[in-house]
Amino acid sequence: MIRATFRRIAAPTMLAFLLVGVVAATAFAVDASWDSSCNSGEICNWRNAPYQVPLAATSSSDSDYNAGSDVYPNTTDGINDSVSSVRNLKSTDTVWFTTNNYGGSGYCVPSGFQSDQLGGLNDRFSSHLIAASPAC
Amino acid sequence: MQSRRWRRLAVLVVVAAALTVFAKVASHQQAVADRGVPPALQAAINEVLDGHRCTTPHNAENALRVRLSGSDYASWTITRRDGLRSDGCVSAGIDIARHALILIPVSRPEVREALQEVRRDLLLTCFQREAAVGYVQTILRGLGEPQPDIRTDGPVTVPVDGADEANRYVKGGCYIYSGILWNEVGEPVYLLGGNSPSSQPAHDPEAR
Repeated sequence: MIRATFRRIAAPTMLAFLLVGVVAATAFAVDASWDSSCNSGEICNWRNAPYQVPLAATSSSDSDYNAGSDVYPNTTDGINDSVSSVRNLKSTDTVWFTTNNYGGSGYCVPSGFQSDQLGGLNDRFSSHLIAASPAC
Repeated sequence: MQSRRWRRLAVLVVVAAALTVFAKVASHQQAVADRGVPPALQAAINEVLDGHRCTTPHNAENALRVRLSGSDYASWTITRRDGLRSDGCVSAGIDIARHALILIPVSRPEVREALQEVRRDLLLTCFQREAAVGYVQTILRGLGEPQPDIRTDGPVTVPVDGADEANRYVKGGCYIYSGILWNEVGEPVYLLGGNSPSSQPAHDPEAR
């Protein structure tokens, strides 16, 4: 009787909570949202140089370009280790990093600056951090 | 049989409701991130890290914790990027989605200000590679950096406004200051950008 009740009620409920948990974890791990036009207030990554599409732009920091959602919009191309041109249209400095979680080497680009010749940093960026105080 | 259907329906309703709620939470969280730094949080950061004085990682972390405690941001984490020197100066980056402030290395204020002038100077006056390296070296040594790591194989980074002109200038053989790369162990590498055939580190017998 107890086992039957468990199967009928508890198991589906647990399944529901499991699904909710997975969705919740996904929701709270939300990372930068990317769009495909480079506007004021955003930082912009181009896959190709000079400033050639595909383009991924965002207004917030992103700790891991290798996360599932980190692709150039309208493509399946991952952003990680692919960036060849950058532009900082935030009002603050931004630092691009060569590994995720803001690790590795960090290259500071001031507000209002851009680069389409990244030299040894080409195809190496894996995260970026928006500075909230002067950084460059 | 009918009660089983109702149970299934109930489970589906619960899951759908949960999905809707969490989608809204995610959407709200992203919207908050997209709006930028909340003013109260920015004010707290400005108080601690105003850019006019050197704040060490320890002092920055403590002062930020004090400012944030009792505020809406008390639960935010403050972390240090790997390789921060305990006696170095820091700035803070903000990861709104993760409710995190990340302390990152920054030059001493006097060095940062001098390098901003260097950036302007090298865009106004054409220095070829050796001259540009010598100029930056002199400035940095004068500010107490005896062996600055200056490289000329780094990015060419130009102002968005006037980029075409700056790029023509660089193509003409002039070197510009492209900024700082903080390496894995937290040391600054000063980058000069140019189009000289040589892509080697700057010739500097004392450079590391």
